[in-house]
Amino acid sequence: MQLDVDSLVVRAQERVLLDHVALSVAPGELVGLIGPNGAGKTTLLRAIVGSQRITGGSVRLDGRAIDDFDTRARARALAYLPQDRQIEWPLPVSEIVMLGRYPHRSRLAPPDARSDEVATRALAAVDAAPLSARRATVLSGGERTRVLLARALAVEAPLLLVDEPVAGLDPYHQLHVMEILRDTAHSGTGVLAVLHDLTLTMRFMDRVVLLHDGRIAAHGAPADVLTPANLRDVYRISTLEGINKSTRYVLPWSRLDNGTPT
Amino acid sequence: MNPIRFGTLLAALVGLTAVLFAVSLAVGPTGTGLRAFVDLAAGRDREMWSLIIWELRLPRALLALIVGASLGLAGASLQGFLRNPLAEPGIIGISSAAALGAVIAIYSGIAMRFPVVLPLLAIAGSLTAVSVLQPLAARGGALTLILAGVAISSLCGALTALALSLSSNPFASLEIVYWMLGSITDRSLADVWLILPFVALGWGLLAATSGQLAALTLGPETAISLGVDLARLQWLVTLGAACCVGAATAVAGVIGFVGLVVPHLLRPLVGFHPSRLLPVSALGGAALLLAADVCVRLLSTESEVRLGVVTALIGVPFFFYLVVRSRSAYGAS
Repeated sequence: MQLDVDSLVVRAQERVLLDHVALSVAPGELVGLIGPNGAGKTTLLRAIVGSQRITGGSVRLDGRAIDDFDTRARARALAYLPQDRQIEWPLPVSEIVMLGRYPHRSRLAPPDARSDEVATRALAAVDAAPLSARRATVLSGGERTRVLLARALAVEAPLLLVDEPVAGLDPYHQLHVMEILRDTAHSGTGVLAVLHDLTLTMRFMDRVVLLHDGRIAAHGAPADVLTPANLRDVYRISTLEGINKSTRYVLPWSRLDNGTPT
Repeated sequence: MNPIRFGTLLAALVGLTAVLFAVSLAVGPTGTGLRAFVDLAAGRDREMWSLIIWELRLPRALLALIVGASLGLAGASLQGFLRNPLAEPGIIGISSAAALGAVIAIYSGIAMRFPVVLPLLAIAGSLTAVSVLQPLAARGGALTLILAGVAISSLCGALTALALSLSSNPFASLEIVYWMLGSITDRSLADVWLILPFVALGWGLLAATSGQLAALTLGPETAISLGVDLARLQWLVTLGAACCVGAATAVAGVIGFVGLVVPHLLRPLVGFHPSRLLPVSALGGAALLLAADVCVRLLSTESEVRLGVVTALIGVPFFFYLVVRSRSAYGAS
């Protein structure tokens, strides 16, 4: 399923949070959404999912306006892992993942065999099958992120939106989560991921959209977006670049104040 | 917990409630049901026993069942929606607001002429309280909710006291004070019929929230993305809880802590699942109130101990325990 966002405008309390933003995510594509704090990344994801009121522009799925989908059809089309990783009650992990089947189930029907199978597969995809019986509130940060990612995967939506999926994780788990997102995309799902880590963005993303003050500052292949000039103008940082096994990488190096290192 | 165990738990609670209902019909100051059976079989005192069981004990047992189920269900639903185990109708001021509505109905004399006004004003009171609390609970944490509840309880208590102190009839005032302590003594089947439509509406509205409360476990953002209509859910919980608590308070006065103790005890048995907690909390609430009412009758005191006093004595230690356990949440909010 193709996601197209056109001229999206979001205003809240007289402030323009998103100003004519356009982007698209094709099936099988892993797209990174980057930008400094307050650039409007989370607002954009929330506007696509429907939890943020849109002032203007459009969000379309396979050419059809998202408002034409009823809430459950929209929920089956778009899976979302929000920035907030809250789990309120100590449900077993298997039940948390099963919540991803909510848009597929009638309200009174008990879980069916297919939902069980999908939830089990989603847990296995994030290497969390052994956690199945654990209480979700006692998981470590890495485990919690993977379990909640499995919950999002259990929706089996053709589009997956994830907000800062590697925040607070150690490097091992960061790489693990990025590999899961890449595998998910390669299996045909369109993935839009908000990231702060420029190195992971360069390494894993098929395309990158750089947001700045609610506008798109650059978009395209990672190497074309994560240029020293763009990073200086938008992030006010200088970077180190290199090549490892024919793959380019970029490292944030120093803050710039009026163009000079601090 | 798998569905078979959930089914077993439901069946066990249905059985317990049925047994306690039967015990409630059988126990009273005039003797036990066993004696009634013997007397009835022997053709003795047929009219007296019929009067005692149908006119005195049956309404009481039915009210304990209905009021307990309503309070248990309302507590579990509010806790699921507000994602806060302390959200109990009595603690957060909903019962006090319902009592104020009922006192206005009784005090003004409208309830005498139009009995249906009594539950309607009690429901209006609880509806106002839930509507004020929900936005506060959404923005603040547990502390905000409890403080708002204290404020609502204090205000309603003050207004009720004002009404009582302005009353020209001290006996009527005393009657209202006793009524507010919570009791289902001396009620008739007319009281049951009076509140039944309102509690049935409340049960129906809260039952419709079931699956959506589970989706809220991961917060409102995820719930919306899963297709939950939060505005509709809020409407269902607000009106459902108000109908349950308002109608229950209208006939039974303020009976606190049922909605706290019952969901708290049963939550681990349903694997902490907010949706499965609803039916078991309704049954558990009914069982608790039936049991408490039987205890009240068995305690031989000069004037009967009020039901609300018994539930408070059971509930307050639980409340303290929950407050201590969630002190980290208090610090965070």
